[in-house]
Amino acid sequence: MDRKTERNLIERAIAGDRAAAGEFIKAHQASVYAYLLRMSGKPHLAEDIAQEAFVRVLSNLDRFDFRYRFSTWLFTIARRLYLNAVQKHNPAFESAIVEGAIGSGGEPAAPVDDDEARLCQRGILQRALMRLSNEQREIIILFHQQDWPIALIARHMDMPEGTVKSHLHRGRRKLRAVIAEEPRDVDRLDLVSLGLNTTHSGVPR
Amino acid sequence: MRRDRGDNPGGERRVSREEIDRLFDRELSPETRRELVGRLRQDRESLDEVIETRRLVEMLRAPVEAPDLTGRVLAGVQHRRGFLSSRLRKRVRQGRAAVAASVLLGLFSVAVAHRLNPGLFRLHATATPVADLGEAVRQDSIDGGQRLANAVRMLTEIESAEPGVAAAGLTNVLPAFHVELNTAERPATPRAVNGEPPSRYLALTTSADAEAVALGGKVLVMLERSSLVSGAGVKWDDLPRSEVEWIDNPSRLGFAMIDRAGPAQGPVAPGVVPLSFMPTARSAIVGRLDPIPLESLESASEGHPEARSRVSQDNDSR
Repeated sequence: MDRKTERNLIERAIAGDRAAAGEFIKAHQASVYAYLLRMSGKPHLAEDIAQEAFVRVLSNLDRFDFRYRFSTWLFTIARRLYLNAVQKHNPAFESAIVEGAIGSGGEPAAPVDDDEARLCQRGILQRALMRLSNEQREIIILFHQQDWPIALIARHMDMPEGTVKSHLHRGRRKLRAVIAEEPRDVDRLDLVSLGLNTTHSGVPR
Repeated sequence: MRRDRGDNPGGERRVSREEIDRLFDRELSPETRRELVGRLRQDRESLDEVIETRRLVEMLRAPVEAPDLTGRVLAGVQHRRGFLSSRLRKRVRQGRAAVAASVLLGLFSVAVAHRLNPGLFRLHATATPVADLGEAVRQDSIDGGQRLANAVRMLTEIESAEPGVAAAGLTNVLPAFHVELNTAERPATPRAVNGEPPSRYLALTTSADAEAVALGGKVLVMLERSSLVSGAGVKWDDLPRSEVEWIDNPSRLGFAMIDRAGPAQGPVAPGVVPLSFMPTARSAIVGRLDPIPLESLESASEGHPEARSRVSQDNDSR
């Protein structure tokens, strides 16, 4: 969604247009939910927090500063709600997630078809993510999943860009190491596509 | 652990970890990336690392099936705030600000009033030292006695004005009343003639217990609100002293009220002056006359009650 469309929708929603508010939700719910799901590892929690974040944002739209991106504001509120939820449930929260993500400890069964393989892959990824620190996990998700630039992540998390990069690099290595421990059927990627297809979006949506 | 990449026996420069980080940080230009890929072909270990990282990034970017939150979010917004137009929202905000300002102003006013008069908002009486209690009782006693004296004086004046005739002046306030001092040794009971039982009368007594209660100003209050009916030809019978009911109010002395006075319940105690009675309601007020000289009461009644029986105008005759 470009900024002009976004601004138009916000102005309509501020004027009391439900349809505009609905468009906003539809445009952003997948990314917010994905962010929260990867952060928490709990679908229900991610759903609840995403819903609450949207309600808060839409209830206070008239306070929105048009100099910023709507998605940034939405993610800031979602992040705050998530951190509140973590603090509220600490320490059981983290351990429960890790336990849930790691599972019963048995080796995952060999994938039977594509869907199952995808599910298995997601499980592996989530387990690995949950073994990162909160900062590493969030930075990796914002950078690689949400395509946020380093500068924006630094502002969002209120830390220097160098620190963000440091977390990003360490988190990526750790993630790789954890996933490497998992049994898998590695699909070697084509080197040419690897070199040419690496995205350079560089700006938040 | 990776080995050091600076000691490649092949002589060709191997890919450093920093370069791989920059690749995935999206900091390399397309040309640099192509050049890096070329070098990666010569560096199997770095290539593996890049492939694994690439795979990882692909997994991170895989789409997630998100539930549709639209309905629930819109309902939540509606429930919390509603989809108001900006103008209405502004008014709501102004209204809230006005309410908040009013509350603050109210609190400020209360604070100021409390500062000026700390006792203004006290819900309970200030604790009274025991030393002050005697003085308070004494003062109350004096006040009660004064009220009683005033009441008796008024009755006396009216009685004296036209002996044997209904007190016209008092009937402006009292529809009907009967005054009589019972100085007999035995209690007396008011009894109506013509079969109409007197049941309400006001009595003053010279023999009430010291603990008896003075109703003080209530004497008039009682009379004012009583629709008194005359009991012409009242006859006073003996009344067991136990039937006299003293109101337990230690702060006042001099009067008591009898609610069960009347023929069925018996007479008033000796020294009681029945003042009035009525057929329906049954009560009597009995006063203790300690603060008042006995002579004043006796001069008001002038002797035996039966000789001084006065009955006021009958309400029914009005």
